[in-house]
Amino acid sequence: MKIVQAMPTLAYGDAIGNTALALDALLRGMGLRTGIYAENIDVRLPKGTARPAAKLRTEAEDILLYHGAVTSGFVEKLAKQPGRKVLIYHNITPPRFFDPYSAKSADLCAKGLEQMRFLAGKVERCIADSQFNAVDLRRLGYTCPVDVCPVFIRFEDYQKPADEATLRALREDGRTNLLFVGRLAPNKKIEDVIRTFCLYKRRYNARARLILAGSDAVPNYTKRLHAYAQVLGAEDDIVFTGHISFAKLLACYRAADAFVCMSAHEGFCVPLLEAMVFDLPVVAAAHAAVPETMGGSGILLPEHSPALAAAAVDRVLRDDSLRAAVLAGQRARLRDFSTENVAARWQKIFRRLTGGERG
Amino acid sequence: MEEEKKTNGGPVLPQEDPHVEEDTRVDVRAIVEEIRAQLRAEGAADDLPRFEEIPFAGSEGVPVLGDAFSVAFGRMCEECRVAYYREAGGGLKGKLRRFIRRGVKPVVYPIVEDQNTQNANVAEAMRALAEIVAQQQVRIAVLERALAEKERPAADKADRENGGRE
Repeated sequence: MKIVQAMPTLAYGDAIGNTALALDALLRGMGLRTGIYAENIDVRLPKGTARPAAKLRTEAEDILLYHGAVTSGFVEKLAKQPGRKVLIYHNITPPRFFDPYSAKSADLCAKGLEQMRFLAGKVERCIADSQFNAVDLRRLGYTCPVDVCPVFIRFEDYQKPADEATLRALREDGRTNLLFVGRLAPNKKIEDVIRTFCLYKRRYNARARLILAGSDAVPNYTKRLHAYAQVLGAEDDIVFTGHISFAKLLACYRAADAFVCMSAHEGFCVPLLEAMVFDLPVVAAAHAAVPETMGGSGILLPEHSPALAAAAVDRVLRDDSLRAAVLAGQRARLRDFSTENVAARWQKIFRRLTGGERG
Repeated sequence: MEEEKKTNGGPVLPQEDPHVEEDTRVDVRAIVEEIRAQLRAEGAADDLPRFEEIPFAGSEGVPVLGDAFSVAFGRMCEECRVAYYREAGGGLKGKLRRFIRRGVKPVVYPIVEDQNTQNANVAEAMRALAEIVAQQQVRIAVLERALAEKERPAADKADRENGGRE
């Protein structure tokens, strides 16, 4: 018997890719035969890390773990593969967020959700990154058992050196840096991060800067965000980094003073944990999986209000004792996502799957 | 504190901080209530332009300037290509129509092509015009904002400019 992983894309450095690699190592450590198969394999990964999906062959006693996160031409073939199937669900953004900007993106999301519905009767178990994603699976028609287990975070990566030039540029003028990290996608409500920043700058701190570190997901949306920044008179105070190297991203985290998140839809939101790693107080609107990932730490706002968020940012940056308490809470929360804790949860699931444990 | 934070370069890894402070709980609800009360007392209005007011290019790359325009423009694009002929139908009448159609084809087809080219030009001109309108809307919004800033009381401006962190 072997347990193999299959996915549309094995990317270098993203949360799903990191989880797949960590699970691969975990399974090998448990003495199980394993492998990763993907339709697209990032060329930056060492040769032999994964094999092309076309080479996937399973037997009746094998277990196939499929990472569901985007639409894929692989799904129908996957359903026909012999063996037991388990879906690892990372969430697919509802198409309504993309409808105004890109019919193509909306269509991809719709197709992805359709494919998840298609798999509903064909997998014996699901593993979701969050309870929010688990609820999503029920809505998609899954009646099989669903475990909740977070993604792996490669904490050691955050100790790599930051890009010095970027760090210097963001620090030398002494401005207060607010940060958001994530693709510029409509579900992340970047416009409300911008609005929060503008209110913060206007009411509390004229010497502030907003760093939006993330690649362009939908050009029409990004263009609209730029126009919004221009209308608000803030185009010189907002840095749209676009796609940047990991070293520059580390510099953004290290130069920042606070992390702001106003996302309307997130399946997990790894940047929240990254902000905690860099001891940035997090101010976030309580939507989707954000409260779950925060786990009671940070400052979670009960309503979607940029005015409230701006005031909360000012409060946490001015009040040293509040900031200390927030950071202590975040460090405590971060322990729940340590490699050891997450690995133990995954091992339990694998033992159950292989018959070593009932559940 | 600002200086401490800026020079403390290392990330905090979960396993490096085993000693948890006694009480790390933050009463977020109380803080939010305080902030709400503060905002009410200050009468702080969130009068910034709304994102919904910003024109943008929709799915087809055409600026969305309101439902009426989008619907009309979408319909125009769908129907802008004229067909060479309509259905001839069956029977003797259909045969006659197809016979006549073959005869006039050398005359009709070039005219239809010319019309389709012109229709495409009009659609493109409409798209370009819509883009100009959208840009003008953004420009107007920028100028309105600048005017509003100019008209803000001088005291407000002084408070804002002195609000920078040390």
